[in-house]
Amino acid sequence: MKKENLNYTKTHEWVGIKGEIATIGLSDFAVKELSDIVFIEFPEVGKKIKLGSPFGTIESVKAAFDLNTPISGEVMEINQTLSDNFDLLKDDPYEKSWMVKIKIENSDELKNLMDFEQYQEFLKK
Amino acid sequence: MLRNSLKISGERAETFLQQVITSKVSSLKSGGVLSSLLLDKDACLLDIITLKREGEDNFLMVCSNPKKTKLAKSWLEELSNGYVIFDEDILVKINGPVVIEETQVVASSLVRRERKDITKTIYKNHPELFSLSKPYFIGQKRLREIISFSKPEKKIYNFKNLRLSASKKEKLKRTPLYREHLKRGARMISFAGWEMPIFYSNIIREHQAVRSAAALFDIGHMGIIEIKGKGATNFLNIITTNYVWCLKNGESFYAFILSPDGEVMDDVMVYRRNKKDYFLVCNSINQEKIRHWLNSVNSKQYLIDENYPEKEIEEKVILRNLKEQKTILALQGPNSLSILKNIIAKDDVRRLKKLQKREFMETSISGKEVMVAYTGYTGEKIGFELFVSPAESIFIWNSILKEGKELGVIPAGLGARDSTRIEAGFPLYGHELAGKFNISPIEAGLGFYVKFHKPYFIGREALLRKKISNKIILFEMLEKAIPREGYPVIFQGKKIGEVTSGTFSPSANKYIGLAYVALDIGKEFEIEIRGKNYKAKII
Repeated sequence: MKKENLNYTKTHEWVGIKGEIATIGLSDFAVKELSDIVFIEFPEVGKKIKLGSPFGTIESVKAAFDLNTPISGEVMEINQTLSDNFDLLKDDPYEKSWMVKIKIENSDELKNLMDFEQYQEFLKK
Repeated sequence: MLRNSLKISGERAETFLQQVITSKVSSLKSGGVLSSLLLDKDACLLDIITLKREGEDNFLMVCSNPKKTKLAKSWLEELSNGYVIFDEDILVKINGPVVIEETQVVASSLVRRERKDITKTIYKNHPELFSLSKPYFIGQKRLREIISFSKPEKKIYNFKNLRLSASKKEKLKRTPLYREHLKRGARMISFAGWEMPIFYSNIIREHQAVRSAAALFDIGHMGIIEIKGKGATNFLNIITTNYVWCLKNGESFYAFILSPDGEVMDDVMVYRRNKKDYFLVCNSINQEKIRHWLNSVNSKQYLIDENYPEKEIEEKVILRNLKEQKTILALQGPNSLSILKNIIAKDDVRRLKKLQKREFMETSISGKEVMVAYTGYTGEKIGFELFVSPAESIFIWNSILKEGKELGVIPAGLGARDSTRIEAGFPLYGHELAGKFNISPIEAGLGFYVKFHKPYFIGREALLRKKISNKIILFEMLEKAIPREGYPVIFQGKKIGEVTSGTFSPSANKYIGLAYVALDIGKEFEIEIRGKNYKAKII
């Protein structure tokens, strides 16, 4: 996925849309900020998650951070390889290190997301 | 006429006598004479004695009743050896040992007083024989019950109030190395009022450098306070929980500073240059509080014992904040000795090689004065803390990183400082000491550094009274999950404690933590993380 074509949240998750499936990951800015990633936890497949609530946890040596879902829906797939290979996040944050795929319930929720340019502006603030 | 007398000598002789007789020995000048009482633990009179100071560590004692000399001698010997009960509190020991010898002295050189029947009568007529403000002397506790005297009004120390009066929005402070950190790309965070590097590259790499090569930390945020003067040793012996008289010149130790109600105000390192010259290093977050407290105790106007408002330090000391003169770098890891050997003055290399843990020495790096202390907070077998002038610290920081490059030294931030100390099981003030659970040194498993054999130090009785129902443990996770501060510890389905610190341990490739738990916890238990329980066990 090209980062220019993705949408972004204020908490640095990216979202890619293909039909009714949203793929969610973490921006390279956030990955760099976190520095030492030592733990990732995802929800189980089939779980329904709600907009604004955490769908998972990512932890550095120092602290734990929530991964927030920008849309509600059912978890279709999780990227298990990521839990065993955190380096993927640094090497390839937009392709191999996607985190979860969600079946979109309400596409209106996508309106609140930033596009790439807006996200770049947001980072400068 | 010649009289039998007792010669009492040794470095601890003054402190010994200060605790054994009722008068103030510390104010006795060389050649001076005073009269005093030898009491037992019930404040019964053994004899009235006359004491002459022959020199700094040298005294002569004469009993008013010559037949009592033998009794007095064995009393003093037993106190010196520590095998006699002299207080209801059986843990205490009089500061000794001292040398006690029988000798003879010309009687006319000494003032002689008549013996009275009971101590009470003596006090009525001769209150000058009793220095009630002394931190301790035998019979002191009972004496207060049998005599009446006006107890002084002392101020109550309250740092929280002091704090509120200070400006609330203070700017973050910076160490002299601040610009160097930025140059090396450090990520800066706010810590205890200071803007400090959390890491330069990443915490895991810096952690591994500490364990496998060497890492250099800027710990210029720590507090440094100098304590000087004739009374310095006794002052620190009253202020801290450890036994200061066992320190030799060029040695340091770990100790606690307690409040009068027995709470931990800070954990510190005490360094002895000589018996009149010490300095201590305290936690960044506590330095203001500790400076205020030391000055308050030194002023003799503040209460240091809730039950004995008359108690005060024996002699005022000179206190100085050394932050303008000194800053601290920590060089930690197996290669740190080799790195230092390469850069310190050639003539000092042999001494450095012989330096033992807890010892320190003066040397120089490229002509710049450095005090090297064999100590650290990482749990490494080899590690040093360097005390340098703030202006020269940039040069020394860069020299170590440059000259030590081949030996693998890299700069490390507070992130690796925290993860290495958790691995080593060391406490951090506010987490494993004091903090929201008000954790005592005993609960933290650090009772070794509290010497209850000292008859008096601030907070002693209050700490002894404290119930111990919890303890600090070091544990590892048996399932994949990271414990963090505040997470519940579950044993047999019940919450019996809380995590106080947690991290990923790069050395062991495990998730580890410290927790404050009930004493009866089993070897295996669970940590509740985001609503789910994960298995863990004590290391």
